[in-house]
Amino acid sequence: MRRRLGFGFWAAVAWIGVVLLAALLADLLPFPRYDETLAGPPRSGPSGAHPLGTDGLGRDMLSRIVYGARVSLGVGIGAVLLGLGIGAPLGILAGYRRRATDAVIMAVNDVAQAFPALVFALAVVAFAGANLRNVLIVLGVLGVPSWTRLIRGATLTYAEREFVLAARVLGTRDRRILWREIVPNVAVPAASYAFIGMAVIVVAEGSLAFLGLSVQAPTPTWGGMINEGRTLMETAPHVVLAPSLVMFLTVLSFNLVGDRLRSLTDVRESGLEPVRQAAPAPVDVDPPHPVRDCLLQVEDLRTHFVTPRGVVKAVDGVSFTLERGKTLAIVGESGSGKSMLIRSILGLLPGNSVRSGNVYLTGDDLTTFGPAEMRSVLGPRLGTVFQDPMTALNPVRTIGTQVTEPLRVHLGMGRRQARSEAVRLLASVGIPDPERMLRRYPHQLSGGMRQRVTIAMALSCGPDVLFADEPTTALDVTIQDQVLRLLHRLREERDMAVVLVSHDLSVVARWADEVIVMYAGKVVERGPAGEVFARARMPYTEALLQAAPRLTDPVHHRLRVIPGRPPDLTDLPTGCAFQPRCPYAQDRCTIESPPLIQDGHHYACWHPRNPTTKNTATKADPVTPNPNNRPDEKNHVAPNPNTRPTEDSDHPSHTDSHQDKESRLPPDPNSSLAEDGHLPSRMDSRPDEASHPTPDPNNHPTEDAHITPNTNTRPAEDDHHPSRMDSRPDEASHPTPDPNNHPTEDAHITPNTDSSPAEVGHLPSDTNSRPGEKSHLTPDPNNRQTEAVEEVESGGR
Amino acid sequence: MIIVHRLVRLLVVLLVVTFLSYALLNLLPGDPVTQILGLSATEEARAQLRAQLGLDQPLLVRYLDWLGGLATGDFGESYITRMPVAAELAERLPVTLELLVVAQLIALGLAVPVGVAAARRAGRALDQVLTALSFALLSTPVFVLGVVLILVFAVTWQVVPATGWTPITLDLGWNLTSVILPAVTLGCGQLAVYARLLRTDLIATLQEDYITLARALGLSPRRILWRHALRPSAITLVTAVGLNLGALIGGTVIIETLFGLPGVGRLIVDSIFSRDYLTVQGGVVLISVGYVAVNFAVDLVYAAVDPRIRRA
Repeated sequence: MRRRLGFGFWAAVAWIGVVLLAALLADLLPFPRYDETLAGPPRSGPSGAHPLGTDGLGRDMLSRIVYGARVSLGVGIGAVLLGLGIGAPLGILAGYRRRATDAVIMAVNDVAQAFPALVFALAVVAFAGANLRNVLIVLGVLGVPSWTRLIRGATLTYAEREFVLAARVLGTRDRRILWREIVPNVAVPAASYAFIGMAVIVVAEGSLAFLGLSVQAPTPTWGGMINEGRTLMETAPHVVLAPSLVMFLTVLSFNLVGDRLRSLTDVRESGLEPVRQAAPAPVDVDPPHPVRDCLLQVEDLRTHFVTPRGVVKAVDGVSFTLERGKTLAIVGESGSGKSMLIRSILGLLPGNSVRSGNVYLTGDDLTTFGPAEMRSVLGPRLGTVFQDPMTALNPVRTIGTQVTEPLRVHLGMGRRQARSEAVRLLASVGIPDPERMLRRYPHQLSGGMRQRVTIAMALSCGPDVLFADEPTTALDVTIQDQVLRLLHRLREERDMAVVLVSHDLSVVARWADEVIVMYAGKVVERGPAGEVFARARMPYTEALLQAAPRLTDPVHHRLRVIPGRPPDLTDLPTGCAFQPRCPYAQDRCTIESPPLIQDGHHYACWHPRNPTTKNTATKADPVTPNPNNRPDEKNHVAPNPNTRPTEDSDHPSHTDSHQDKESRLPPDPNSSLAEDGHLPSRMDSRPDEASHPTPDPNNHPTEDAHITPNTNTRPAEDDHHPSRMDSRPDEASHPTPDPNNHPTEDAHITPNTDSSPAEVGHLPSDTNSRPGEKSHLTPDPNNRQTEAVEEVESGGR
Repeated sequence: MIIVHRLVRLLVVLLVVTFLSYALLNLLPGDPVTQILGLSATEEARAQLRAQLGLDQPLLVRYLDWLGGLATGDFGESYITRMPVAAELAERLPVTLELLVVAQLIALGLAVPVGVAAARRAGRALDQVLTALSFALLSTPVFVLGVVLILVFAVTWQVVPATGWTPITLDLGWNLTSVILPAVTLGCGQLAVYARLLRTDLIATLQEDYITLARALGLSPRRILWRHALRPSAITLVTAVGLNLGALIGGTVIIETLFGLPGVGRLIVDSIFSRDYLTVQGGVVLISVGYVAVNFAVDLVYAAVDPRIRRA
């Protein structure tokens, strides 16, 4: 992505150009030579004849500065080229061929850093003679370790990228990879370093010259001129100021150019660039609505983000009410706006957002609160638990400090009182030995314990509403249940209301009183939990329900997915946002957006599902009526803890499945299952070895096995290998029968190699004579990266 | 175990650095004998002095001899002044150290508030001004900055002396006036570096979940910045301060020359000019040991800043 370089960049380029040009053409310029004494009266200030005045010997300052630029720029360019010329090959080599080379380079680097470079520059120049060549060589060579380190770093980031790994796996020769893949990519950062390096060298040369150890008089150098000018500081300050200013501008220009070039490639910085905000348009005028007598009332809440790509409607007109002692569940896929809804209610939004609508907490409109008022509500009245307890606690502060802080800030407790209260809180969320816990740091705790700590923090000031934003998603299954139970118990004990955000319907079904289903920032279905689950009207809700596997499912069911992906919020489809993925969409859906209407409960759909269609009845239906709606790994809806994502059974097309490993655009739900175990979709048939080209049912991701303990699980090492392997050696089937010889790097690209390559690879096919080619398409696409690619390219042979 | 490993590694680094510098200094053209006796001395007189100074021995023997002395704290004797090198260094070191410490205090004392202020309003006007200023400061060579500061404060306003040094044992007030200008000159460049580092890291930290959680707990922005975000953002800063302290022990040559301070850097430069190898070599040892020691100290500070590191 190209960004504007800005005025400063071009001004800097212009200055460098002027200095460079002047240095090159110095002999042609119409001013006295640098060593012509008494060209004007000594120590005279700037005048028409001498734009920068004269020095103590009456020499023209401008002329001296221009000739001085020859030394500065000459040394600068020469030393950078020398340093890069040696350092760049070393750095690329170290970054690309790690191990031994890398170790050597790092050791040398250690020494180089402890080595007093400036002292050596001084010593060498002093002993070997102060002339242009020596200065250039010394500064160039002293820079080599830094160049090596920088280029190594730049290479490292590319040597691990997919395209380089892919090239390696394909057997491309190293030299070719280096020249075609690495060098072009390292060139841009190298160029930016070169400019910064130029600045460093110009300063270094100036320092040497200042000490009298650069090119000797009468040749002028900037550093030397500054040193000489010091003696005249009281009578003729311009003699010292003129070269100082020129030097400053030159160094600044080199730095600026280098910095801007670097920021073009630096991902980290570019993310921090301030977003250029269009004046945030007021979103909507609040419609009048009654303020009801309830704990929390949200009315037509909207949150829009102004981004360079357009306005993102993250929350788009959400309303609900919540009573004390109830749990409201907010459900939807990732990116549906659930979390942003919570943040909008709490007022914890980033700077580029615009919020409208109203949030009433026992009748007070929080959207009218100033920052200080809001802070007095956050904590004492509204508590929050976030998704990932691993990142939600400050790593450098003890649990005790973090739990007591809200108590001391909001409730004004003293240190001791806060500590004993913290102990009580930690005990109430089921943390053993809370006294000791106070002295610990987050990294010493397990995920479940940390989440209990964040719950304790959220509860510390006795909130009326507890917002739990996917509180269990990052936790182990067994811990998930404990945490949810705890939340439920605390709700009962404290008579709070709970807003539970989740993508996991099994969570919601169990603990929620009310359910809101969100899609693309809008509420698409809302109502009492039992009713929504029993009679889902909106096809999206129905799909969510179907995507959640159940314990009652037969063991080898394929898990079901919602086809397509969540919409791009900057570019929503016209009409109903779900329409492109909806199997029941009709013309009207593409034109008009359905309003939220009440019929039993609230839903927004033109063609609601037949109320008699119980979700249980649809269980065994094959999903994906629309073949164009391809599942995507993003839409993991409900990895149900209770069901094992069953294995790969029916593979419509093998080349496809290979391809998707390559392109990461899985056309087959199985592959997304394989990728991260989410998004299971259910299918009926047990894999049939005789009729299926994918003979190995073990091809499912084994890591799921420990996440989802299932008593029905067959042993991971299946029983059928030995016999089959015996009965059919694989010599005929596979050109490279040994799966272990695949490059280990594959693991980075294809996470699902873990499906026991040994067995899978040796399982070329079923015993019933299948054609050799077909069978070796199948065993495990991931272990055969190279071949997979070839097969795809040659149209499956 | 890790500590032992590190110590061994650092010791090796020290050995390599001292040997390289010893060899380099001796292989370069130029000779202390000529420096002492002048160009007109006879060949016999030269040979005699050479033997007297031990310069007739092979390089490796001389190095090992010198290394043996080093182990007992004997840095050798200056060829020129015939003073023990250790004593000369000891006399100069306090000046350099005071300069360094004051400069770092000034730099850190300003960099932290500047970095925090810039990060807090990242992208806004104040941040842009501060960022531009620190960039300009970063691009100013120390001698340019020093000259300008002298011109303003010593020549024009005459609030501090332009050059010279008053030892702290003589008069504290005068000592401070003599150290303040060089320290500011030295500290300004560092200030720019530190502020930029801190700003970048703070902005990254402020995106962290635990900062959002702190906001959700209704804590004030000031409290969040100073108590929650600053410490996790300080690792890079600590590293930079450490490296600077190590690197600057010999790197204050320019400042010491400009302000006429009798520090280690000045001693090394003078010794280079007079081919006084052993004194230069002593300076190199001081610098390398300083670097190594600071590196070690930085590791300890890491643990204080980030408890996660304490496990190792």
